[in-house]
Formats: sequence, C-alpha cells, structure tokens
Amino acid sequence: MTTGFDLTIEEQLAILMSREVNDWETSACGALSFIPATAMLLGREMRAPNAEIIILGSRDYSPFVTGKDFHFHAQRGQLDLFFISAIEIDQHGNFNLHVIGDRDEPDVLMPGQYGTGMLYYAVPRIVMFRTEHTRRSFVDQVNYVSGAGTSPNGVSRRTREVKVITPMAKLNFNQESRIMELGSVHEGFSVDQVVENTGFNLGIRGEIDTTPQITEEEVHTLRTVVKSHMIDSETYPNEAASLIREP
Amino acid sequence: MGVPFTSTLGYAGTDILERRPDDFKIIENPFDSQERTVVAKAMNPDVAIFHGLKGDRLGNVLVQKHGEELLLAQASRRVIVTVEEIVNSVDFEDSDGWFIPAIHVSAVVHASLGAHPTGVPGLYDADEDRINEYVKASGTDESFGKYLNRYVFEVGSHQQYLELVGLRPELEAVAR
Amino acid sequence: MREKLVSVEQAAQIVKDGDHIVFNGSMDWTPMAMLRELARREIRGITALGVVGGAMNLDFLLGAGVADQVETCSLGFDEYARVAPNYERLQKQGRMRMLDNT
Repeated sequence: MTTGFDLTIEEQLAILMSREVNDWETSACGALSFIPATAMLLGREMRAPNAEIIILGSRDYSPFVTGKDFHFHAQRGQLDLFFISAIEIDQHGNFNLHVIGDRDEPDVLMPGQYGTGMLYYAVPRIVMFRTEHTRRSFVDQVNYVSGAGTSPNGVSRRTREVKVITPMAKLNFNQESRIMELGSVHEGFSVDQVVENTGFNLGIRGEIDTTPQITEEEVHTLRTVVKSHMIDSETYPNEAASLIREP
Repeated sequence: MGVPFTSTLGYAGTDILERRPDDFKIIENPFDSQERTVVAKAMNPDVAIFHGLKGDRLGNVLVQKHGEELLLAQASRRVIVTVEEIVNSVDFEDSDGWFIPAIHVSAVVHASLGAHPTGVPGLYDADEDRINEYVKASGTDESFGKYLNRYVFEVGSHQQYLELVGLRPELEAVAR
Repeated sequence: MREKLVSVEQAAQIVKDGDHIVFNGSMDWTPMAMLRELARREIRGITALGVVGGAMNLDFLLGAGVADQVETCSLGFDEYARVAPNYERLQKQGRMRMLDNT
C-alpha cells in the first residue's frame, strides 16, 4: 500500500478510480456504490470540474424522475463512464452478479443486476472494481454470465474500453484479443503476487508498469473536501465518516 | 404497442439470454444485414395489481407520482387498483399523485392501510417491526406457514387484518 | 357508465391460476390487502413480474405458494435483507424458477 498515508482499501480504490473521470463527461454508478460515488466526487475535484455525476439513489446526484429513465439515458448513449463491481470477473471480460452454484439451486444467491448487463453494452467506458484481488474473484470462467465481455458476431455495442481496478493491480481488457491483461501493478506489490492471486492466466510478456503513485494532494482532497461534502450532501454519509480517514 | 417483439440493447452473450430462448432471440437487423440485434418477445401480463391513493366509482384512480403504474396498466389485460380512499370524483389535476383514467382500470377496491406493513409515502411509514418479523418468519417452511396462518388464513378480511395488527384507518369511504 | 368499485373478494376473481401478474417495483405501495386475499384463495401457478425490480410483492407471493415463477431484474428487500427472504430460501432449495432479466 502507498507508504505513509495509511489508506483504507476504500480510499485506495476511490483514488485510483477517480483518475478515470474525465471533464465534461457523464459518469455514473448504481445504488449501494460508495466507492465509485467517492471516486467520481474526487475526480471532479481533482481534474474534472465540469463532470456530470450520477449516483443512483442519492439525494443530490440522482437527477431522473423515474428509475428506468437512467437506463434509457444510457441506452441512448448519453453516459460516458459506468462503474461496476461483481462477485466474479473472468478473463473474457464476463462478470457475474447472480449466483455461485447452479442457477436453479444455488449456494450463493444475489438479488440481481438491475440493468448492469445492459449498461455493459450501452456505455463506452467501463471501470470494474473489486475490494479484494483473489482467485475466487478473478476466475477462469464465471459461474453465471450476467454481463458479457464479448457480444456474439454482429451484435453491436458501444463498449470500447474496459478496465478493472483492485487493491493490487489494474487490468485492461484487450479489445482485439478479447482477453484481460495486466496493465500495471500498484506500489508495494509484485507481478508474482498478482499472478498468484488471479485465477486465470494473465499472459504476461515483458515488463509491467507500476501504477502511478497515489499523491499527497489526492489523499488530502479526499479526506477534506470530498469527505465533508459527502457528509453534508448525505451521499453515503455513514460510509464517508467511517471509511475515509481524517486528514 | 400491439407488436410481437421489440429490439433491445444488451443480453447477447449472457446466461440470461441463454436460459430464455423462448423470450429472447438474436436476429439480423432488417435494415442492415451486417448487424444483428437482440429482440425481446412482447410481454402481455394478464393482470396488473397496484395500490394507490384515491379512486372513484367509475374507476379513475390516483397513484404515486413517479412509478410505472400507467405503463403497466396499459400493457395488461386487466387492472386491479386498491386505494386508500374513495372520493366522489378523482381530479385529473390532483397534484398528490398521478391520474390514471378509468378506461385502463378493471376494478377499484377500497383498502385503507392497504399496503401495510409496507408504507405509503406521505400517509404512513412502513411498519419496520412487522417487516422484520416477516423476514425472520421466511427462514423455514414451518415458520412462514405460521406467519401465513396468523396474517392470512385465520383472518377473513382486510378489516380483520387491521384489527389484528391494532390499526384503525383514519379515512372512511366518504364521498367528497 | 360502468361502476368499477368492488370488494377485494370480487376483484380477486379476476385472477386465475397460471396468470402472469405485473407489479410496480418498490417496497412502498405494495398492494398487501390484495396479495393476502390471493393467498387466502390459494391461487396457484402465478408468474409474478416486477417492473422495475421486485421486493415484498414478489417475495410474499413466492412464500405463500401463489407464485412459482418470478421475473425481474433485481429481487432485494431494501434495508431489511440483501436478498428477498422467501426468494432466497426457495431458490436455494430449487423450488421456484426465476426468469432473470438484465
């Protein structure tokens, strides 16, 4: 972990994800999404003052009249970036938000994906994240394909960039080979560690970059401006209070 | 809309589509042979059931402002709406909710506190204790069976249910 | 003009075994009085659809044995449970069918 800052995993991921938010673009996350919500608010502070931010279920950042309007907005191509977390992600870019085990008699059951599979088709840039980098999260083949990394021949989608951010590394989905690759390893971790904790072959060739270091400015902005704004605006205030440290 | 299917985004390559071949198919775009699209079979529910604020004898109802009720009513063959109160005539301009004209409604039922133990925003909160009781009872067949006996089978009507849970509706079916 | 005001018992006659019934998605406004009546009449074989999403509406019908199949994109239970409780219990036992939607 980046030395000296004593970051929580949530802080670390939020900072790394905030770098994906671009100015003048529309970025969004679903409900129950504290980490991407924080990331978008930090991204706006750091580099994207004119970013349009959508945080479903929030008081101040949920601009639609009814629930389905958000999904129609995305279908029409009005979203630029969407954040996804899932119980499993595989090397083909598929993700699982439904079950572990048999779909009709599962061991683990989740409520469902509330449109995420469609959003994976509709939004050009997708950032997936996971709070753990483990073999059970990154699997050879997901148990259930809730969202498909590649569409069958000829079925069009807007997706052009897919990244995965974890506490150890950043993965990129290679749009030509249609396979997840290791993009960079965070400071404090080794390529071997990442390989050992990934349940599929990362196909490493040559040197792997180190993820650009987390900066004092990013941490400070998160722990002051962003944290207090989240509490004041009642955007995940409890999580902000407990998971973002004091400056 | 009276059409057999609609083109839709997503689904292709997922287990959702794989498991429902009768409801979703991938076809060639009739306007562009290079492209394929997912089509979803039209859904025509037999019945739509929802709870609203007001209703009148003709079947006009006032439901929540930001829901999907109108769409669901139009899509379904029959529509049942239970309402908190019956009024002389539901006002099209009533800003408390969203007006659905009687043509889309098959039956209106007077049921004060008809959402209990869930809530009706602006009228009554959800009964959290009773909902937690429901969650707990859902653990086994036996415990949920007991729950159903208590709140469904040993109770003959909605009125008796309200008496059982110790509630008296504030509103009566008074024509306004 | 036609009078449409009826009792809950009369309205319930509209529902037949095997019907597809659609509901609004939220936990609030659940038509419990009508759902309890359907359970009381022991209606069976219902497919319950939740648009958009489902909660107490679909879960109660599953628990009461009225619905053996549901269709929705998400079947949670607000802050009361991560997954709707009867759905979780019955699905894990293979006693119902969920038609997932995206």
